[in-house]
Amino acid sequence: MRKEPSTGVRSPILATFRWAGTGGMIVAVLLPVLVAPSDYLLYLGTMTLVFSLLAESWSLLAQAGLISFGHAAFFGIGAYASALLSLRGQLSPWVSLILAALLAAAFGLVAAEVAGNLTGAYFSLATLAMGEILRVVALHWTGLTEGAWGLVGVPGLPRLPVGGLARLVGTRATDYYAALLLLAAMCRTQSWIQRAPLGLALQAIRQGEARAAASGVDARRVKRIALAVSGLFAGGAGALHAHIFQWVDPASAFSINLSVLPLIMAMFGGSRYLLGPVLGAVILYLGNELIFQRLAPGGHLWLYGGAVILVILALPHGILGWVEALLEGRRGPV
Amino acid sequence: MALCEAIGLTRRFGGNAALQQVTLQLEPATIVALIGPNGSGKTTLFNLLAGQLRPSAGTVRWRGREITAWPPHRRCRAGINRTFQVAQPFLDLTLSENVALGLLYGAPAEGARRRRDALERAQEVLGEFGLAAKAASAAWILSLGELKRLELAMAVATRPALLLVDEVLAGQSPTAAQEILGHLIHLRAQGVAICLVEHRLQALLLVADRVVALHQGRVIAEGRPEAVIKSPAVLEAYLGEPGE
Amino acid sequence: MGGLITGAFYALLASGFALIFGVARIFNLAHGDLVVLGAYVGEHLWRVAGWSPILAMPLAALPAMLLAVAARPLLARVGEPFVLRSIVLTFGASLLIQSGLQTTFTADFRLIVPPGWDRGVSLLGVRVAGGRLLIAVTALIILALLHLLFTRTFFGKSLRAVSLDREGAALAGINPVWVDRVALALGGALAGATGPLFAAIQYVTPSAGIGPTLTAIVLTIFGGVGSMSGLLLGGLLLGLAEAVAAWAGGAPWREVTSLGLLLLLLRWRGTGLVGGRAG
Repeated sequence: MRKEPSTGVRSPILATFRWAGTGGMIVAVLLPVLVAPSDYLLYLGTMTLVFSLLAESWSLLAQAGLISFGHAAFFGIGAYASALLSLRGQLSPWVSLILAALLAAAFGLVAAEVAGNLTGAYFSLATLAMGEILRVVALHWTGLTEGAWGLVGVPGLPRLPVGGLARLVGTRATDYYAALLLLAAMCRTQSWIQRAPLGLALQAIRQGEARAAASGVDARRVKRIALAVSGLFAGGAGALHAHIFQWVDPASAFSINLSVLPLIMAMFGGSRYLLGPVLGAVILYLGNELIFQRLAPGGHLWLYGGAVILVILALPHGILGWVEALLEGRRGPV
Repeated sequence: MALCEAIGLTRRFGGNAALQQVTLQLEPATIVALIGPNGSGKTTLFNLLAGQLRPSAGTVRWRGREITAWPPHRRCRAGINRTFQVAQPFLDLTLSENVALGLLYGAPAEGARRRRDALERAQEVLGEFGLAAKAASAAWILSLGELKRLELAMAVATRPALLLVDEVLAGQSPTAAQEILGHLIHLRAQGVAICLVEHRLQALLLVADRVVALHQGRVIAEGRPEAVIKSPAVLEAYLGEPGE
Repeated sequence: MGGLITGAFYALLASGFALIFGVARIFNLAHGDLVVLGAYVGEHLWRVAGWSPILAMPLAALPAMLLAVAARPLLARVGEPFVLRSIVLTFGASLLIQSGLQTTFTADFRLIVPPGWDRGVSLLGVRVAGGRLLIAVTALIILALLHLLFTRTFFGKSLRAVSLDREGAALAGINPVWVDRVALALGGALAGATGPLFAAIQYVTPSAGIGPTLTAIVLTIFGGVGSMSGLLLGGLLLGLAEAVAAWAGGAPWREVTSLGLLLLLLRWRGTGLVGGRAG
């Protein structure tokens, strides 16, 4: 499941990760059955998937060395677009979800134009600014977004009728599987990119944009693609969120938290690895909801802040990086 | 019509003119050596030719077309490639990947489409520079001399028509240096235009067809190697500098 | 006019940030949170002991300064690429500070309203709140002192030397590690000290830090490193721009202005500024 080979020699560690990944996938598919009839647990699962999706989309940019502090922009655009299209435009939630994701991808192209030739920290600051600008716009453009009150009554994805199938997977299984589908699509895209020339270009840009350009890589174009794809899935996550909660407002859709969380989750799990962000999302989100909130309600910032600092100082490649180092140590140098 | 022409190239950094009114022609199947003391503008000239910098004045022409505004990646695809004086390959990638990048993106005519093909071709190219054994290792394990050879391999992989080589002999063992020079001669025989920056003057005498001497951003001498090296202007510029 | 006054305040706000960035090359995303920390301290002192915000400044500077200094060893352990990773680190610190504030001070809005500060004063024919004027004057005084510090004292000059050329300064016998510590301490102190003034201007909540941080970023990028007058100029311009925007389009346009300016500035200055010159 590793995104880049270290020495090109296939190590047994990859096999370990692969087994774990496959196991995780099986659990994921069967989860609604496993947790039925608890609606709350299913909701947790769905939200974990949404955050995993967001974190994965973030890590695509991180591959290219683009650390985004403004992913809330994509998320919020997806949320609001899908809400508006389905609520005001009377479109089916499925259709509006797809259109909203496309719109977010288009914004990715805009972002590429605005910030495309900025390097490192400056790019990050630009993304921060963009996310905040959109939040302010959403807050004050009341004609479109109803401002701080938000949009209420957004149609949700169709529920399963009570009884029958619903007894097996719960009435809100559609939300869950929609999220799972989107996440699977994202991961598939990621792994395809990794094997294609594009993946190499992304890595190269991260390690030396000037050198990459001298080798023929059109950095602007590659960044455009990365931002569009990242935006597509992050927007999809936002749209899902809107339909699950059936409500959007600037604070929840464009909150700085939404820019913070994917960063933390992806880095914590290990943004280098295909499923690292998913792992990060599982640990941090579920950890927060199930454990932390009981102990220290409202203290989630401690958890997240601590996670970030831990990663930067001690786990540069996240949990999976640490696991890999452990495994490598145990089997001796490969 | 020369393959590549620099016409009146000037580049200023703040108040300092690193290059002034430099005019130069580069033809296929020739090796032109660029010499001059440190700070004379050699790397700046390379940056202007390969696109990392834009001139403050003057133009660059390639096969008759004006390419002064072309970004580096476009020039690479057009056939101009270079090594960097401070070797900066992609340290986290394997050597094969380093070279493969150029094959995938910088050589549209005969470049590889698929990653796997590119990696195989990269292996071959690395072999020509004695790096095949380490092809699957990450670039950060290489010594300085090997890094420079990797840079050269990366530049050569795209089969450029013009190759700009910036101090590739530094840090090489005599055998390796010989091989590299042999390689350059081989490339020249294939029609590649090569412009070489080097401090080891004996090497230059061996391979260069022409020598251009820079001093404080201006061309002070140009012509056959033996003549230029002995010219009074060049000697004066180098006065006090131990030649090799 | 109000814009200019706010502008002077902005410059003070940014000074701590610019100092830390200039010397240690660290984008301190926790900057605003240090300000808010100072603000809470100031507000507490005002509520409990009636201290004027200006009086509270030195005391408010203390916790912020301590935090900044404590962070140095952590920052030293950050790997490559330094600028990017240190940003993420300070980001994490920002979250921690926010949660600390939330736990200690709860999340309600706080504001310092010193008596008599809203009394109008005539300045060049325009009426301004006396309190605001006081803040601006304080800001200008501190900025002037900083300017003197940087240009006249050896200490200040070493700071500037390190910010311009780290290796050169080291060769000249200046210990960059010590200078880093000092810069962090001073930068943190400045941020904290600005806090009580901040609390007198607007409501503070634990998460209010992002505003000052963004302002500081904008001004630092505009004003360049090591130049107090650049910061001041930038601050005044920003203050003016915001005031104009608010007057022309209404309150929300204020925030958008500074954000929009940030984007523009980044485009203008953002390529190759960090990490040496091109070529």
